Amino acid sequence: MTQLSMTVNGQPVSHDIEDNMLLVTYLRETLALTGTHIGCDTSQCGACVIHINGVSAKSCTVLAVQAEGKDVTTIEGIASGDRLHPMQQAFHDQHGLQCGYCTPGMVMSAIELVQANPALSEQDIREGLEGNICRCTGYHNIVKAVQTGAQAMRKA
Amino acid sequence: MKFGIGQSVKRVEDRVLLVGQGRYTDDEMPGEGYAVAFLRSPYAHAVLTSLDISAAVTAPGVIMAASHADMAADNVGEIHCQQYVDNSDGTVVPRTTKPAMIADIVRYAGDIAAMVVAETRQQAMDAIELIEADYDSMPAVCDVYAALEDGAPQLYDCYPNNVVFDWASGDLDGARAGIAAAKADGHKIIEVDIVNSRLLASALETRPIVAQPDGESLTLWLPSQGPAPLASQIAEALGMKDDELKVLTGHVGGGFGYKIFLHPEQLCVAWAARKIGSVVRWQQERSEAFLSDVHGRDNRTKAWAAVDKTGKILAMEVSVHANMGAWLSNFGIYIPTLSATRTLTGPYDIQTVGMRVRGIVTNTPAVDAFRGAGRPEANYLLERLMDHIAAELSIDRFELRRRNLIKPEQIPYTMVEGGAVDSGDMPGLLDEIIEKADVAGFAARRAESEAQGKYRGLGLAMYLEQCGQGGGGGVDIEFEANGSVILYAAQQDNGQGHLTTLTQIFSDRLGYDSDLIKVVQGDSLRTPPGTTGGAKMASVLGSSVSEAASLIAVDAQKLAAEHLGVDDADVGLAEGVFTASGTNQSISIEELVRLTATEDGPHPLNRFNNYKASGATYPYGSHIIEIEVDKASFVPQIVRYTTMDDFGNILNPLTLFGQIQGGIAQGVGQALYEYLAYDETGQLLSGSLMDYTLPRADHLPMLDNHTRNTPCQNNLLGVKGAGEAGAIGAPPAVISALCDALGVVHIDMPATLDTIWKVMQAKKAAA
Repeated sequence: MTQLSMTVNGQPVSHDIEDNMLLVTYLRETLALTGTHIGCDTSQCGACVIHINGVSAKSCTVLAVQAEGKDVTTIEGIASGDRLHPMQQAFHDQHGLQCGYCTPGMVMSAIELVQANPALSEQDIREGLEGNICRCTGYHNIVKAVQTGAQAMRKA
Repeated sequence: MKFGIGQSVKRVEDRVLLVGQGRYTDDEMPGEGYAVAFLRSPYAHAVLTSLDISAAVTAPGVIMAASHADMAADNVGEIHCQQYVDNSDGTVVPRTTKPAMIADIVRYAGDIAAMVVAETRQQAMDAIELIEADYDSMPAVCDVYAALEDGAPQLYDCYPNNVVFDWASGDLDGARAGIAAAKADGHKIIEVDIVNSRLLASALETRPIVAQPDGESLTLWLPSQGPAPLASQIAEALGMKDDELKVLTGHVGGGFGYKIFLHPEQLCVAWAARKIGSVVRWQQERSEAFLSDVHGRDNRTKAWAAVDKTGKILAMEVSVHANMGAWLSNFGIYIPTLSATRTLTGPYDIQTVGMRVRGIVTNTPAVDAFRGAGRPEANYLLERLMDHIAAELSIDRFELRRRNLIKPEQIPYTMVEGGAVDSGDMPGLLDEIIEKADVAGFAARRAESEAQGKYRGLGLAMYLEQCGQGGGGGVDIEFEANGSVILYAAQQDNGQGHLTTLTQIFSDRLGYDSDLIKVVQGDSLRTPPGTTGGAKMASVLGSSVSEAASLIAVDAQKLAAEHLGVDDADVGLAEGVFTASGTNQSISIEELVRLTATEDGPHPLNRFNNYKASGATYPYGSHIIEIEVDKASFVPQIVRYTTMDDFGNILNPLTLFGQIQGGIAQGVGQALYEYLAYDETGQLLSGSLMDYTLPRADHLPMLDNHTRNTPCQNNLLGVKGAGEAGAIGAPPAVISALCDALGVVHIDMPATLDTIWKVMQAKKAAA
């Protein structure tokens, strides 16, 4: 067991955890932040993408202890009260989600993509989301959502 | 707020999903309860000669370890195929069932030898390692043709030569005679030999289970496409009364067919939870999904068509070898037979057709419905045949289809293999999509691609689907004293947007405030039975809600007249307000609901409705694709994608096109990327998402989707169903485009880089 402390969605958290616990398990099962999903076991699907110190990461491929002292943001932490993050709003407006399972990871990946490259092209979006699988939408509306979200984030 | 039918209403489902508040099965009681792990057979075909679970029982944290013997001692029932066909010689197909765990013979790699329940998942997985299982391995067979050969490994004594059934539909003798006569008359006989490869539905959410016992009762949370059929099968297997078992389905992370069906783990976990008397959960890993979910497609099909000099099909004979896998899943037999045959002639006027289907067991996981369920397979055959005929007769592919299409004046058109197409204009749709896709500009675009070192191909496919049949029309409507209304609905949203669509219909019909409408699905003890599948949500359940709303309007009119002190006939409903004619007296329907609520009894406007459509629906359409293939690397890239469909009346364009786009991606996956490959010993070679390629964002272009609708005559709403269409139209259109790009007549699915390279090597060698 290791004493782990980090900040999650702006709140300090601290627990004694097994050394081999994955960050995604810590978020889902210890903190009950079940918005971060698990869709595979080979770091392919991206349903578990979160931000660690503002950089997107697949939380299924990070040990919880590696996030010691870090600032972690999950899908639960990006809206401001009732106001959705511009990227969340864009996914709603463009019908960028169906079953919603990939959506948290998709939104978290998209936010970082736009932060890294505010003027990104359709091709940049498609290549940038290569690590996030969606089985429902055919990506058409996801690409439109990221374009719309990027515009809104530039204005915000 | 009021929602109208036909508007692109944004979804009411979205908000909770966008902020991480979805309630998928594994989100129930996160981290609590005992964890389950399974020991799976590494062999595809073997005798399980001994099994010693004693070391697991005493391992740290272990609550229970169990095998088939333990479940058999409790008389747990087995999985049954739910629909058989008879053999064409009139004999009955022998019935076989599948125990939840291996009884003695292993018939596919991944079948369950034992299970462990422990305090933590890690402990359960560690204890699994301590179980000693001995097997006598036997030769395996995975391919349907190999399974028929002399000396092939035999899976079941009751299925000689591995043939489960040998079924025929249509006029097989007539088709053969027609082909022979046409040949004698000097007409051409065109033959195709195609593969519908084995696929994994690959919903992004896997198939977890949470089980909570309470005395004799049990609550199960699991992802489903409607909990009732699973509840009844599980209750029967466990010897429970129907009201003792509650199956709940919350949010579902995609279904696409397989989440309808009973899987072994569901019986194991439900049984274990009752045995232990505690919460038990199973978190299915993706690699386990590859081994244990029922798979899709896996047909080999040959067809022969006699065509006259104009390219008109005179007669067609089809022979399908359908891989059942190692056991017969719920709808495993139905899919390649009764489902596939319904649209065997597609949108074409073909008068003489016969089909023979052999169902064959192999050492692979069971096969069942995947999006389209028999119809993508049938349509792929027909469209490949069209392209082959066009090539053989040197007729333009578009023109050839035009010559064979059902003409508007033939509608209603009775297909020789099934139902009557009630509405549509197929040639008109084809002409219009040719314009929209700018087929005329293709030559110039091909020249541009050539200049960049790329082949460019143009492809098309037509399709016709039959859907909108079966149950699932139940809706139980309850009004509350505060003016809100709950629609307890059959079927199950898996992401299609049922809640939005049903809210729209109810709000539109009554002018009801959409904010006061709540749709509830997914409770086997409360919501009406029926599953989502076969693209029937709008036509069956949507029509049911529409009909119920109209009946409620009649009842409400009487209550409004009473309230306003006038005759029934003098009250009219408009925009959600009842007004007494010739007066300024009115009351909104929501206010009426509040005023007429009773203290303790049910609301007088409550209503149960179960609509049954008068006939099937026949959506049809066309996909036109342009694909580039890099001449150096052979990497294919779809660069233009146009669709035009006739979906009848449209309830919500936003969600409708979402269905098409998602279906297209799955069809493109089948055509170019996805393939569950087995080696000759029955080992799965593509058993993870690193090996099994699901389409990614950069595999697809923006999609140009259009409709050209004629209302369906067979249901109240005039809708046709759009859930499967994309997955039906895409595979043949992609292959058509790829063949055109490469200058070959055929390439098999999935057209991976390896396949393209081989085809091009063969072409070079032949030149």
